Amino acid sequence: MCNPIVRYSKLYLLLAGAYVRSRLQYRLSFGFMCAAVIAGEACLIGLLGVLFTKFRTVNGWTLPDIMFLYSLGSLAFALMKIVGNQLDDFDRYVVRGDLDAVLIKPVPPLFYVLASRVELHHASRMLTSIVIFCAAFYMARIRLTIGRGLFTIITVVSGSLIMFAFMLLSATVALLTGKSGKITDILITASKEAAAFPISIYPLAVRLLLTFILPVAFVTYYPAMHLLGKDQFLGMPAYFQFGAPVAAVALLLCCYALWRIGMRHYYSTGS
Amino acid sequence: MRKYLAFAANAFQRTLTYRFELWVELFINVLFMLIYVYLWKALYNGRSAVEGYDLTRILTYIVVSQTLLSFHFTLRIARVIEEKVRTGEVVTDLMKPIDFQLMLLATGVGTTFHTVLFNMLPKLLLFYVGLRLLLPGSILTVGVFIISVMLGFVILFNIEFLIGILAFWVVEIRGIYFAVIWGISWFFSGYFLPLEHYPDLLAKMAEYLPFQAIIYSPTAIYVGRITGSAMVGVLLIQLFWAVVLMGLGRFAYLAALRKLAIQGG
Repeated sequence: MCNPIVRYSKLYLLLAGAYVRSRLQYRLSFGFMCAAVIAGEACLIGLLGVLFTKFRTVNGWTLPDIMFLYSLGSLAFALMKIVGNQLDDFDRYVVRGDLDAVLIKPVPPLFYVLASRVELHHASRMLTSIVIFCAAFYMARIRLTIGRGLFTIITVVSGSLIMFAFMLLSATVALLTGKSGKITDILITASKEAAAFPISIYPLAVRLLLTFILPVAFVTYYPAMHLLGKDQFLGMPAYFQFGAPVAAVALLLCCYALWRIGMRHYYSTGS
Repeated sequence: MRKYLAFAANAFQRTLTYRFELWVELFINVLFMLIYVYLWKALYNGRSAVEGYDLTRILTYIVVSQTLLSFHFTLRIARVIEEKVRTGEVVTDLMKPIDFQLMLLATGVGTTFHTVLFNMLPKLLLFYVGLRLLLPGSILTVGVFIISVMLGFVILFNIEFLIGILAFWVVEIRGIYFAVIWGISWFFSGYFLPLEHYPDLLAKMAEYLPFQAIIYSPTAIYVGRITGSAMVGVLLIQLFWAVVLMGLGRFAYLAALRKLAIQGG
């Protein structure tokens, strides 16, 4: 019990397990939710398929390349959703005063919030994305080596950390203002969508934004340069293809620092 | 009629309280539309026209279809019904001397009217000015477009109503709703690209499904892909779907009432 990693892992499994079990009680709606996620992903890939059957390429990117970009983003998103979904409506914790109950628990508040609700149906998004990703790999005729496999895993984990940092940022806003105002939607939904296409289609200002401010280009575009063996860095240094973990850690540290500041300035709504 | 107008007015006023959220939503919508505008500009790089769409026409199509997509985010009648069933509020609705289906339609119109004024029209105007998009060919086209949009709205309402009624049988309809709307409806609605670009088989399927009548039909009228007497045909198909789905909704609702009576007491 003295090792904190073991202790927190056990606690996480206990808390998360309880919620997952409660969700699984409604097996039918869980099944429908999984089906919905799969249908949504299938619809988007289908539309991209239709688009690229007609147009073949955009800026030299073919359908498999685009599927690559899309699935990298989607995998990162799914992973983040499984772990960090609770932060999405964090304003409810603040408005209803639930956060006060969290604060008196003998664990770090962020840990408790994250562990208390794990939405497993996002695992079906993960599965769908893996299928799309493998199909893209096959269609683009890239050999799956151990090196590429590891690179992909690191990329996806980094990508999910980047998106998680966005979540944390919006939770911090909720902490201070009492409403997150769907800021996650702007940060994540829109940036994920933007990163599903090669950033060469955007003007310079947008590319800079997606690289340095909302670094979703590191979730999809730059790592894809490496995996697809492309060389379109658009004036950025070539080592950006390995930059995902750095971008993720940097962004996460910044957002976590803001979160800590937010926690220090938190006042209960008192209701 | 006055009763229903009151419901619509009420719903309209309620949306006014969420002004901040609406601004955020408008902002997100504009971002999304910008992504697609850039995508299509890059896709058309070096092309003059594809399937009768030159760059200006395709951009107009995308902007109008993305604007009409907002109905999907506003209406949420399925979720409203689910909520009413879960909380039991539906019982008080049933006691009112008013038709449940039409009451919800009125509520939907009220909510959506707000979106049209403060979200859809500004978006359209913004992109129209920014990209110098096409305008409808004539006043007649404008009129037909507006009728077509309204019929599409009624069709979407009825599809959502049908899904919502399922809440009388299953506890949670979120999954079914998303599967039908995000999966099937979006794919066949033509919001992402015109149906002319679909492979023959899929285009044929889309033609026989009601979803294209929600977004593709009005948009194709707006950009002048459907003109003259063909517009009348499209309106008739839309009317057909609106009536059929309304009837189905009514049927499902009556079945649900019987089911509710068994549970009641």
